[in-house]
Amino acid sequence: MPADGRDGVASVSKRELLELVERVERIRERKTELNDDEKVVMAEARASGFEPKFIKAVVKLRTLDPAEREKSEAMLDMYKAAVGLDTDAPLFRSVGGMGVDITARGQVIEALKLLAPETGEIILKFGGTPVRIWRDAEGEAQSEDWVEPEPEPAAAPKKPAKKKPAKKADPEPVLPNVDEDGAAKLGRQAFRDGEAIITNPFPHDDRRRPLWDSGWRAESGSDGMGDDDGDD
Amino acid sequence: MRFSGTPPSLSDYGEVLKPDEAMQPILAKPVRDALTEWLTEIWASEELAAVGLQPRRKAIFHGPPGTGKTTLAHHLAARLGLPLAALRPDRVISSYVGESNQNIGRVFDAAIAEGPVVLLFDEFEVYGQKRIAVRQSADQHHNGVVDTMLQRFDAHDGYVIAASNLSEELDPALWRRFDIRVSIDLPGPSERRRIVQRYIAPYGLPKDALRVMGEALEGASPALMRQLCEGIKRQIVLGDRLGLDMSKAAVVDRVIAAIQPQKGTALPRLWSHKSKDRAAEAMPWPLPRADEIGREAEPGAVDRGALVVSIDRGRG
Repeated sequence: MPADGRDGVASVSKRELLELVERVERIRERKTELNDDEKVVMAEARASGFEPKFIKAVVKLRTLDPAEREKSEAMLDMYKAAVGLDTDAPLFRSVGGMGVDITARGQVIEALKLLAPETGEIILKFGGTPVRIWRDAEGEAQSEDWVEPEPEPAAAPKKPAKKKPAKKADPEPVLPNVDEDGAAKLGRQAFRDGEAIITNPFPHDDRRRPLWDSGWRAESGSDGMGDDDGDD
Repeated sequence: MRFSGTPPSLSDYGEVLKPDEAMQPILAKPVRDALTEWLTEIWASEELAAVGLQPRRKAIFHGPPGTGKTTLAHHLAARLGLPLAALRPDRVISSYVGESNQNIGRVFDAAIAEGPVVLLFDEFEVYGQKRIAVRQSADQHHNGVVDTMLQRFDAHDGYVIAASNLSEELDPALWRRFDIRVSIDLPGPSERRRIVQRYIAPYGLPKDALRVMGEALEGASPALMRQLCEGIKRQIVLGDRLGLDMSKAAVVDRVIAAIQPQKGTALPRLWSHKSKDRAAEAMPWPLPRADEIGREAEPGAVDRGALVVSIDRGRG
């Protein structure tokens, strides 16, 4: 039964082929569906005021690994600078953004590390906290935040001004460093010092604020809404 | 639209007052107790949450004009350590159909965006007058404002204070949204004395003169008493320079003639008798400085008959 046999062979490969074709078709179908889904997301983004063009660009950037991305950005910057599309060379632009952009700051420091001298140091006094760049005993370039050393006693009047930038890092510089009992005591003290009840130093969501307030009230024997004379 | 591009901020719709600009209000004891209770409740949010309760966040202060409702709201915000956004109805309510609703929405959105803040809707009757059967499109506009208010009120979980002189005109549904309703009436005798003391400073009145002055000012609002005291001080400073008669009677008559209580409010006795009033006669002249007067305790017995304070609470 050659015909049957051929037919059998043919029918097996036919079935296989048909299966493959159908699988490809199903995948294509899913792709179309997924593309449609993506379009819906983009439309949503557009409705919320985002630009799909840039979303696509960001998605693409995220597929790259960080080293690759940095490399392609650096190349693009260089090419742009070369053909005159960019007014600033990349490093200069980073220097300009140092004060506001941590990444730019990091880039500038990394670049300057290459220039760090074997002996001596580079101190950068712009773009935020001053930075000191030097080479350690192994010749490895290092960087650290740099605080101006205390001037000689003769230059005393300048002291407070110098100290301030170093303190900037403190997130709550004016908050008294006390626990809850301490806050109540501060409130009592504030009343004795003749301070108003609204001078409470703690922010509204600080647990110590009510305690300061109650301390003030306990010490004054009032509710903080005016004197009680003649009332009770 | 007034705003294109930049999102509107609360300062577009009123004044944003900082906590450190607040003044101490002078209020009757029951009102103060209610407010102290509210503050305590807000500060006990966590403990309340543990039993499934939330502190009340919406209050309405109602009473005659000039009774210090704004001062009080400012003081409360300052006690909480929050700024007060005192919204002005003329900036929120617009003559264009639909814009008022948008503005109300923007106020609440800005309150969320700008971080914790106490919203004060002064002259609340402008937003919240009873809804009426629609006869013309303006009625529909007004009803829309009330509906928007209701929706935004329910959705907003920040602090909202409303102040109104005409509480009986308010829409009942809106009225029910306030968990705390405090009636702030004209000051009683002891409050009147304290108000005079505050505004006549750095001058002062001896105890007896202050008492009769308090009696002669029955029915006066704090705002009126402030005008009276400031008028007298202005005369003391400027009178000689202007070559005016600086005798006590002349000064009192001039000041009173220049300040008239609001129409529809009671006329205090001092306004009827002027310089012939016992209070004017008891007033030492020239006015002594406050620190020259021996500080004596006030008489203990105080009549609170003139004070009507009611505190309603609860939802719905």
